[in-house]
Amino acid sequence: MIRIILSMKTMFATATLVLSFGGSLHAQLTKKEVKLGNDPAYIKKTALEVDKRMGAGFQRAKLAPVTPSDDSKWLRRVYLDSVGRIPSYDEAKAFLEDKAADKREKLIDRLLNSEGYVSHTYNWYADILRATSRLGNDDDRNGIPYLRWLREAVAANKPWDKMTFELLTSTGGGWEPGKGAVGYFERDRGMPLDNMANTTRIFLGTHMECAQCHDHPYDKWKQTDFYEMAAFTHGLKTGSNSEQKRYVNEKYDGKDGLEPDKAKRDVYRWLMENIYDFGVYGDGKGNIPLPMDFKEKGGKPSEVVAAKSIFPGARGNASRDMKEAREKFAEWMTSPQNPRFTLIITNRAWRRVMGVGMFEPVDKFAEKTNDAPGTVISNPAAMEYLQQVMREVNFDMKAFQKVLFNTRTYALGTNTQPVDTKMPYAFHGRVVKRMSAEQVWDSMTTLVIPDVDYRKGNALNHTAVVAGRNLGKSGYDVWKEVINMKPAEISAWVDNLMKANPKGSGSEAMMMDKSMMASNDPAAASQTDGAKWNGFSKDLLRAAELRSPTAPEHFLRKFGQSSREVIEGASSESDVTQVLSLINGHVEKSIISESRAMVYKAIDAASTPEDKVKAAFLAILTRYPTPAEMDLMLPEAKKGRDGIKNLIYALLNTNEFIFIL
Amino acid sequence: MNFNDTDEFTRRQLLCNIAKAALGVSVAPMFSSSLATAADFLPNRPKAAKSVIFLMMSGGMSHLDTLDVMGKKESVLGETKAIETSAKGIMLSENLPKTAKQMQHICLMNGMSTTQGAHEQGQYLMQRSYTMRGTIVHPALGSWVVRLAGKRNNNLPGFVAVSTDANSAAGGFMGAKYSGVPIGEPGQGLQDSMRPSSINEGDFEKRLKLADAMNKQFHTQITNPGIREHSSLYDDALRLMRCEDLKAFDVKKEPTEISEMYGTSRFGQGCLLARRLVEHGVRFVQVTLGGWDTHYDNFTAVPARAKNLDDGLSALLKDLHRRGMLQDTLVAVGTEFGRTPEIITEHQDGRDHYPKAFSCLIAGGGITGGRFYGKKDDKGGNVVEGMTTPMDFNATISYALGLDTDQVIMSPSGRPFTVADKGKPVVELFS
Repeated sequence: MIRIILSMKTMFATATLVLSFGGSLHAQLTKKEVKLGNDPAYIKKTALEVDKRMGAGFQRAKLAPVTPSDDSKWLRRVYLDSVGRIPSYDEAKAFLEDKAADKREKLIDRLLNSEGYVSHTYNWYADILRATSRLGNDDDRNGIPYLRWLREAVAANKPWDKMTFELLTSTGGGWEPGKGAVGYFERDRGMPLDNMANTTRIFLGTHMECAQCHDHPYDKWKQTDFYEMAAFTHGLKTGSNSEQKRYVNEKYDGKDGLEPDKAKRDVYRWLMENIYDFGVYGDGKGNIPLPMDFKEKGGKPSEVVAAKSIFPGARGNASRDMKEAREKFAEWMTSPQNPRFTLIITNRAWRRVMGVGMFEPVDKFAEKTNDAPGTVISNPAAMEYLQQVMREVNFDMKAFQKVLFNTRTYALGTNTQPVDTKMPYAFHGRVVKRMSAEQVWDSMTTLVIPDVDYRKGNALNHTAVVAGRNLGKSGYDVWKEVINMKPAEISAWVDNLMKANPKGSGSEAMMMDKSMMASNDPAAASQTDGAKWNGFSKDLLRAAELRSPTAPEHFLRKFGQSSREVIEGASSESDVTQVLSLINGHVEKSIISESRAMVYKAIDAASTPEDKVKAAFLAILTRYPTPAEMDLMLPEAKKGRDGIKNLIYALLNTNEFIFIL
Repeated sequence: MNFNDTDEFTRRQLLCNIAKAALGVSVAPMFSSSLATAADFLPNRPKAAKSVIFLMMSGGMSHLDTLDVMGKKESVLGETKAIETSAKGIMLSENLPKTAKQMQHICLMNGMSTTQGAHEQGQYLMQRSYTMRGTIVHPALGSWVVRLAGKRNNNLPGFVAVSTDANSAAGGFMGAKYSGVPIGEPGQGLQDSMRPSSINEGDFEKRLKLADAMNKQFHTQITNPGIREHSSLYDDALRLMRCEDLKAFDVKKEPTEISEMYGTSRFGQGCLLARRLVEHGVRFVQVTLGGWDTHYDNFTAVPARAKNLDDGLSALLKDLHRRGMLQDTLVAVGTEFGRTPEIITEHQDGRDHYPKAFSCLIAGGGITGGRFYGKKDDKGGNVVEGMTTPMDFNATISYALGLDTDQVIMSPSGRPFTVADKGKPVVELFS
């Protein structure tokens, strides 16, 4: 890391952006970051400064901030924003009864260090990075290693610049332990230009896909700018170019060496698609020919152009290949002096906590040009400071969010008026938003499953099923076994597999439901199904424990979970199929009909009908009922179980349940 | 628009408003299944079709064993024989005997050619008119049609996708609102559209009434269009549940002889469902039949698939015609690519992917049947006349509906798109 930073210093000698600290400090912060995130004084001081700058913004706009949220509202909000679900009855009760003055700060610390934070954050990144359980078609190029890389990065709170660097420089086999980040390129196999357009959008908030084919009509980007960027990764190989790969390819698809037995050919095909041809190898060339139909200014058709970053920093050469092209690209990308990198992640994190970005959309920042006004940042002074904080904490996302959660701005009451989020917003009150699909699902699951954050699924476990043959081991295991085999050994391996594993011993989908067997698989040990979860539906797990994304007909997809086809493809628009599942489907079938659901436990523990109503409100809406609501619901609580069912169903079907205030 | 239609539309709106006022929680009136025809009128063609049934043959249907046998050499046809059809001078494969009897309604599209030779990419292009990209998801044809033509019946979805992978029916950048509503098993109807048996009617109304009382109070505190929209969807959902039109989803309501005519296969029943949906005013129905990827043992696999297609398609055409709906309903059979004229003996007489030349068909919807458009050479490997791309094919469907194929819809990221990209409709198909 230090080497990188030093080289960046020279690279950005001419950068105009002056920081409040020098480049060398950036290196020292690697250690210091831990301290800052855990230093209450730093968090307090920083949050205060954010509030000061936001407050100046309200004043300028002559907007009075909304009266701060009470404990109940703040509590529900902070749970949904940090751990992605509503608090359980016990959690809500404990907080509301806590008399300590610093109970909010303490709760924020606890939530950010909980398993729930990992789940919620993993969903967030998976949507941004389009991380899926399948990278290819059908059963080739499994996405589990990529998802695991992501999961581990979140659990370790890997800083965003480090994650970015690993993604952009990823090299190795798809199933090679520790190399899961290669999924970033495998995700766009065969579409390197689209991959680069995604890269600029994810990390730089810059839309260049128009410039793939012509000069951008509304932004300053030329088609040559795009190709110069694409040159950094041009020539990158997905799949190895090994002797084994050639051999296996010939076996299932060749002319001379074709394996006569069709069943064996299917095994060779699997090996090809999941082992030998799965991974990222080599480097970008640092130069690229313009397309044959190039018509814009600044180049000729098929002319080779050198890599050049869209903001100063990294360059290649048209006549010779660049050394460490991707590494230099990644260094440029993640440098604190790259004007977009910090801006974009700061705004994304702000939006994630505060509900609305300082500008929207978060991945489409445009500079002012003669023809277009460019993107307006709603509070530039605050945004400048926030970027400084992002650099100070060294892209530690948890520390950065901790600052935001501790602000008074975050704790403001709800803006009860409609807000056009496409216009710059002053943040003088919280903007109302429908829960994301994952928040709805996870909140409902919280009402059923005890200790919901810790109930683990199988989505990140793998059992290789090769052409209908269950090997009882993971892709990691197979990779280790076969990757260095000589052709004759591969052939023997295939023969042995056919003998040892009869066809029909399992489909992959079936195996997802079974526990892992003894394995080299790094996550195999995480398989748990403790006694407290026995008997509960196996499908009631947090969204992050399910396939990414879930099947198209799943509740989550209905409510707008991203298909992970495009960056941030999630939607929180309501539609009629959602309501059907709220009134006729999931709510009744998975919650109300589950007699052991946590929500019943909370209600049953209350002795009087009044207390039962109170418990239901606290469990579902994180607040106690008003007198009018008590009058409305009390007759139901007095009716016994059927009335209680009506009560739960009604509360889950309120708008208040599904909108975050 | 004629006055009768307007009256019909207004009456329907009125009924819906009654339901809204009552919030659907009291005994809602039963709605008749007449259609809101106001949106049926589209400006570009006076006798435009109103609905589309798109039958997608996924896997790459072998053209030489199904739709394109005319004048083909025995060496490329292999075991497949040509048979006469109800249209003079037009031949079909013996694998489609029932369809052959409906040939008077059909135009074979024998000049199809695509650039995509892999399934996913090929299907994407066929169904969305754009090549697959990593930066955007283009809407499915059904999404486009509903976006441009609107719904015919406000109580029902505009686009229904039967036995179809939901990703193929995704609204893409148009959003979930325009995605095909999925029906997995045609016999099972629309998911969650019935009150669960564990809730009695009284409790169901009670529950919704309680939620509604809470919401009314909530709405006095917060003014938010998203909340209002969400809340109003409860009315829509209840209306749908109580609506006579919901029976459109229930194929069990069909007489046995009709049901049997379509065949008991999932695809056949899907075709039947498609007819019922269109009858009730659904704009676009896609039914998918998979299994056409006949690399191995083509001459056993194709007849098996073709039987399902033959039963479903022939019954659909016959049934639509008998009900006087064929003029208003365009039926299309599409596939992502064809298969090699070369028969691969080492694969038990298989055929591989062949994007360069393949076949689709269009029937009804105002086209002249009993003919073909486009022609391949006698080996079935090169289009020699009337080259038609997937974009042209989709433009032709759009034209049949009277849509403006030049109408630009911007994606949220500000990129311009049209229903069939740069495809040109084959206008000479229309009488």
